[in-house]
Amino acid sequence: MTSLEERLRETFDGITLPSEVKESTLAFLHEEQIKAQAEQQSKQAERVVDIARPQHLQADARRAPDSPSQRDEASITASRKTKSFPRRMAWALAACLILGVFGFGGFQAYATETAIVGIEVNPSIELGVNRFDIVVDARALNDDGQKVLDEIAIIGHPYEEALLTIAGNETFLVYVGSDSYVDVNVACDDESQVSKLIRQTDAGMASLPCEHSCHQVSADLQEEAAAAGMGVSRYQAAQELLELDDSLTIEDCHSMSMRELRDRIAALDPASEYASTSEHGHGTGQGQGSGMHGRQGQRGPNHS
Amino acid sequence: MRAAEDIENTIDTHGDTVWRVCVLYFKQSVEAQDAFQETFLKYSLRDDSFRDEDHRRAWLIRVTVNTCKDMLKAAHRKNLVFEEGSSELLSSTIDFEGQPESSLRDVLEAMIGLSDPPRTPVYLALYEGYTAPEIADMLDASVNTVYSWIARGKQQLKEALK
Repeated sequence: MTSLEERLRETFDGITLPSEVKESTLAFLHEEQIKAQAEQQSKQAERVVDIARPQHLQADARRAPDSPSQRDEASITASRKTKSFPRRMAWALAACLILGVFGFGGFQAYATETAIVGIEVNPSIELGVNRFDIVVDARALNDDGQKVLDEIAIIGHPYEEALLTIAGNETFLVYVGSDSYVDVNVACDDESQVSKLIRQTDAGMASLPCEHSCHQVSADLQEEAAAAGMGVSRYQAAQELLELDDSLTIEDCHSMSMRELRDRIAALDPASEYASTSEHGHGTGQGQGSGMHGRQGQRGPNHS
Repeated sequence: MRAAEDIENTIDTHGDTVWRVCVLYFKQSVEAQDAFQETFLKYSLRDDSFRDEDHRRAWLIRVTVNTCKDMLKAAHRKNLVFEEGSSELLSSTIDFEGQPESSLRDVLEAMIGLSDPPRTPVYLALYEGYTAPEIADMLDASVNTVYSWIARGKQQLKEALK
């Protein structure tokens, strides 16, 4: 080996793939797989039209995979556009199989939500966060939440960064005036992750002009709220308000902002924790013990 | 799309190789990361199997080179200049433990400073160990042309590192 080769070897041997690039790539590919599955479902619905399409448009335009003259991007684009019907069906089955075996290896770690973070103002949004604090899913719990999610790209991004994106979104900011209230809840079994997410949430919400709180909730409560079609904070507040005012229905509570729910509860029960005015300004700081702050204990039907 | 386990195993096995090609084209870490992701997206969409790991590796290198070139062409068409962004990520990728860091950075800068070709053929020949016929197949060029590129590139590299 010549000295030039030795120097090249020393140099490039020292260049290795950063772990953050690997992680973000896996998260990116996970998102692409979800999109591919959605695309397959859409194509299945249109397959009757596809079969009726003229034959020349159904020709498989994929070239020989090892041809040196092949441009990989063009071949991939062509193959995605002109699959025959049986092959599309095979892809649909393969997509289902792939989703079924998501339990394989470390890739599942990226796809698996270890924490669910609900952000509720009137836009209600739920973020699925994996153990690396990367957002792997984002769900709207109401139409206003969907409007916000339609305008931002946060899947595959660190939670901290996703929060700043949400807090800076113009549609979201319409709902967070100085008299608004942002309620953030974290359902997670890992206490260290809970603490970290609460800390990051407080930092991320600090720029907003309104009050906020961030607290831990149980997975059971999160499931109950999800079954009711609500975020946890709204569900908890709705339960309390319905106990105080039986003229209201759960559907009424769906459309109220968090501020309105809290104000109504405070008006009916001044002793309620929702009547607390201790959270002026930008939130309440760090969680303690079970990760609660701004609110005591876990609320819900089983709360004693 | 390829199975999740397949993709992750391939990144573990060949991720360094692909990343080095990306770094060879882009000083800036963001573009290198984009090229890396795009390469593995294409890998995930490939239906056909590979003869063996050498075939898979060669395919990945070829796709990475093409992806990087396409990104450069697209940027040129849009009159974009890749900004010299944060070098933190790039620095973190380089482990020059035990070596004079400035000397090894000089080599990297000299390589990146070569026009392309001969930069890629020289890298594939001198570092990855591919033969001229193999490089010709990967880069869709004649074998004689590849030999010329390698000879010219080595000369330019020696001049740059004097």
